Amino acid sequence: MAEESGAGQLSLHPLERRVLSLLVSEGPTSYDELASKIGVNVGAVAKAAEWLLSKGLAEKREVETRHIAMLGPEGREYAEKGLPERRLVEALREIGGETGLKDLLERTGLPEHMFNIAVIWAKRKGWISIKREGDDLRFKLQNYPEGETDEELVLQLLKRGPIAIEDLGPLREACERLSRRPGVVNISVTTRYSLAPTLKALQLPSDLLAERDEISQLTPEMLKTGSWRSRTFRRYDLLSPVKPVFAPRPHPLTLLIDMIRSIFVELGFQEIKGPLVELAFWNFDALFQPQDHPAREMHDTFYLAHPSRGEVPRGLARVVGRVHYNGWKTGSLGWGYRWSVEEASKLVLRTHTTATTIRHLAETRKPPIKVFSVDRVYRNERVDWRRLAEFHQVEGILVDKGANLRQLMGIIREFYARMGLKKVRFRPSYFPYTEPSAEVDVYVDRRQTWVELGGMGVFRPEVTWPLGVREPVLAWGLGLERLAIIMLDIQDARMLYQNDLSWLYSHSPIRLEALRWR
Amino acid sequence: MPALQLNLKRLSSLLGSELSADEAAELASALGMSVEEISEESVKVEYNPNRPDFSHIVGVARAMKGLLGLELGAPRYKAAPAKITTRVEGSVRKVRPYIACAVVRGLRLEEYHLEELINAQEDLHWVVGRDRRRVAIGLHDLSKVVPPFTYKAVGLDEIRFIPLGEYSEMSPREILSKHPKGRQYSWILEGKERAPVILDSRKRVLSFPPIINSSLTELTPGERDIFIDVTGTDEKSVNNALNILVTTMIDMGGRAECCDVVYSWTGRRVRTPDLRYSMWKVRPASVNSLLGVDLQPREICKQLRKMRLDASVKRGAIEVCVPPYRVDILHEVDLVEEVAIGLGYQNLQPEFPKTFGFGGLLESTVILSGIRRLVLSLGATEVVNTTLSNSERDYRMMLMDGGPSVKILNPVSALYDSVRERILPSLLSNLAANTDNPYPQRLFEIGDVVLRDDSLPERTRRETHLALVICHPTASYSEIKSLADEILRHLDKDLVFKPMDQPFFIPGRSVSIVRGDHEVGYAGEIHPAVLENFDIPMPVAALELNLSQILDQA
Repeated sequence: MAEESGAGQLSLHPLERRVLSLLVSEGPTSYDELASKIGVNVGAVAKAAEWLLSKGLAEKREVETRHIAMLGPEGREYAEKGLPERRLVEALREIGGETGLKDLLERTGLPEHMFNIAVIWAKRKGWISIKREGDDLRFKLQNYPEGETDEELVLQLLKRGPIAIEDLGPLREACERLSRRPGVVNISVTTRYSLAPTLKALQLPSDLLAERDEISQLTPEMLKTGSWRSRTFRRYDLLSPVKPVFAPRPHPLTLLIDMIRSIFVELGFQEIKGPLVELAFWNFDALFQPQDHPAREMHDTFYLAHPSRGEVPRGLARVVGRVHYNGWKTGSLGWGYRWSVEEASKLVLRTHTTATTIRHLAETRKPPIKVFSVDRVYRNERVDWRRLAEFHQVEGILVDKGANLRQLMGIIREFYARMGLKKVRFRPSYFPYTEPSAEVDVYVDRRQTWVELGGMGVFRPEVTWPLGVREPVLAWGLGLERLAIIMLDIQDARMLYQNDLSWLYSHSPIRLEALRWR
Repeated sequence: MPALQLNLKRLSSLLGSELSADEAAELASALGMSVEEISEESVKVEYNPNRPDFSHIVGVARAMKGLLGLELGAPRYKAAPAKITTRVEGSVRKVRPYIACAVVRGLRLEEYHLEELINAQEDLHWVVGRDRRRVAIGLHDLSKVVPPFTYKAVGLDEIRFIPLGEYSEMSPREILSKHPKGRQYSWILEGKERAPVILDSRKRVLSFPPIINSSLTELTPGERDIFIDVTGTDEKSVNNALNILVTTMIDMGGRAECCDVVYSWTGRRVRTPDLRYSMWKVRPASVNSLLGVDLQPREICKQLRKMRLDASVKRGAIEVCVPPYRVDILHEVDLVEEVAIGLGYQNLQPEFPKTFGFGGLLESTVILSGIRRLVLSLGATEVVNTTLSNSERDYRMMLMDGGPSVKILNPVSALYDSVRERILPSLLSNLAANTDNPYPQRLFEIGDVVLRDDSLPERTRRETHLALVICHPTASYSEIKSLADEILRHLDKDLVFKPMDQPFFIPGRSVSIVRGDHEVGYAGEIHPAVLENFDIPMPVAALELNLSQILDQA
């Protein structure tokens, strides 16, 4: 930067100028000295030093490394209340110099982990002896000093604060000992540096380093008095890094959900919403899923311990039960088993938003119906990079006379096209509640691969007739997190719920929105 | 979904025509299987549970022949009249009441045939059998036993035999407690005092369903006569499984022979397998309107034949014969889908429907978006957490007594045991996970909680909360109150602050936000003991509002 702009344009902050002129006149100087000579704090010197280093005007040299001893949390307590081994021998002396384990533990009043430490050190220092007597231990007082260097050290550290080991003198040995006891004395290493002028700095024209009467910050005062007229403005180093600022932003998942909602609104669909805790009846039975269907088992569905049962809509339940048994009037064979209202009254965390759709269908019934939802669902699964226990579905139905499979494909193709995903394909699939059924794959250019994104189909008569709906119901349930993985170009769906701020800041709402129109 | 390896050499020989991996994958996909892996010698697919006939490569080849036009219409299956009878004793009624049997003679079995059959059997146990509970299958070397057979339930110590894969005799009780298969499937017989067994005329054990076969009848490579037993709790499923196995083995070159099953307590005599076609009617109008196509009846028949169904036009309607292995046809719509698959989904042109509707968002969505923008503009970044929650975190770490009102019965992961009732603990977890990121940190979430509510059929109420935390060296009550003041200015002027201690706030530094006597939120400085529990080394002030209640009554 400095070289590009040439020596004549070289701009120095007043602080840089002061540091540099000191270096030029006095040679290598430590940060501390520089700070005290200029009259600023060491932090400011360090900042100026960084600038000078980046301009190639100074170089950093290590002066010395110091080991600083300071009290840890345990050490602070030792300094205030005495070393645990000291408290132990004092207690033992008061008892009479000899006692058993339980008594001693009680009399010292130390918590158990501390008592153990006290015993270990008192024994190691030869202050006590321990003999095994049956199941008990006998503790006997031996000779012990009135005071020792360990105690003096913690007191010194408490009184004076951190001390360099090099300055400890006779207490150094105690310091080494205590630093090996966890949390008592901590040692930190600090390295002191000095700054030296480079050849380039020594060759600078001297007027560049001379004190100047330049304006750094324009102040209201200057404007008021007009004093700025007689002075010049210091030139800034315009390209040096500044403090980062991050605009607060919505979570990428929220943005994606908003995008999807606006697309379905554009396509003429109304939003709906339903409960997260759902009756098994709406989640399974009303969708013609037999009561022994594997999806209903414990390892796929979260059942509630409490509340565990809800209230099934009686009239509808009777019809649904008959559909399961023999198809009722739908023309279906049914599943051929005795349906249980008890099983249907269990409460689950809904496994798909279709539960909400079917509730809506039961209430509305009269076509045309065009509704959608983007909402949470749950599966009782071990979580991995693509499977979450709680995730979102993009769900919707269209009900109308003459609605058909090609139209269902048309809705889905249009939706993905508006998400910027232009290439889709449909494959046959199976769901207990739709027929025909299809799976949709989307082609992801960036990964050059087809990704399976969701299922769809036309609700079976076994599902719609009990609700009083005879027109075809086109229905879909698409994965949101899989779509998010594509749109946000991430590898692991769990990332979406970790809320790591640096990850959140790496996503721009504007970039995400723009993907719709690529 | 169950998986199947399609070995290309084997598939090509079954089809009688060479197939590349990509062609095989495409065909499988067109039939509704999902392709998992493609390698040079095989294609790994998953098939849907409505097509248990795809549990064996022979069943897949049968369907592919139709799509390729190599064989059209329903395949013919015949079984010779019954020679062997199985007597069912009343003792199985409460244990495992149904059985269906068949014999397949002259089946040449190589090692790989046996492997295919065992895999298909295991898949059928899952797909049709619900992990052997509803249906379990046994395959036996007929030459090792002497019919007629008896199906009965015996005391757990009454009988001893050598189970498959063992060398010494064991009683059913020993098998259930010691044998790996016994331990794996003992849950099916839990609470039953008797073990179902199939015996030959010399009282030798063929099988102890649904647990294990006897080693006596183990199948080995060579030309074999096979006896098949299918037992279970649902007669239709038992017959379905038998039909799939028998038709598969006929396609493998075996000659099927019926068996008689006599239920002694009713005297009912059943001849299995029943390989008759089921007859269906499909209206061309149903096909055309559901698929959005305009096909002549003859064209519809052509597509159905490609799907290995017989179809002919009779007085405007189409009569369809469905072969016995197609156990998934419950309704006319299932046959409509067959036509679509025959046509190929890729040949159905997507078309956006003309059905009119005004698009619109829920009022709550619009208002919550507004609140989200407001809180963003106050300098907070949005986070999104799961509503699945951990009561240890939500209660003990928050210094709260009691426990969650909505508790999960069967979580697979210890991370979750409840659904959250407040958002604040989620946000504290987020702060704890972000201690390496620069401060100040301001996070918020607008999200759902679930509360007990016995007045509703689902006994719970879903509500939306807003929670906001600020975390930096001087985070304080006054700062969070400033933010709360501004947010409340936008919501409702009837909301007031009322000094109120909460366990998770520092005493004397928190308020309730109330309307009348009703608390709809709280704000304060988080108690340092809570911060220690979460491992957050920085002061935090927080606000939580029940937006559902505030907006409902606004």
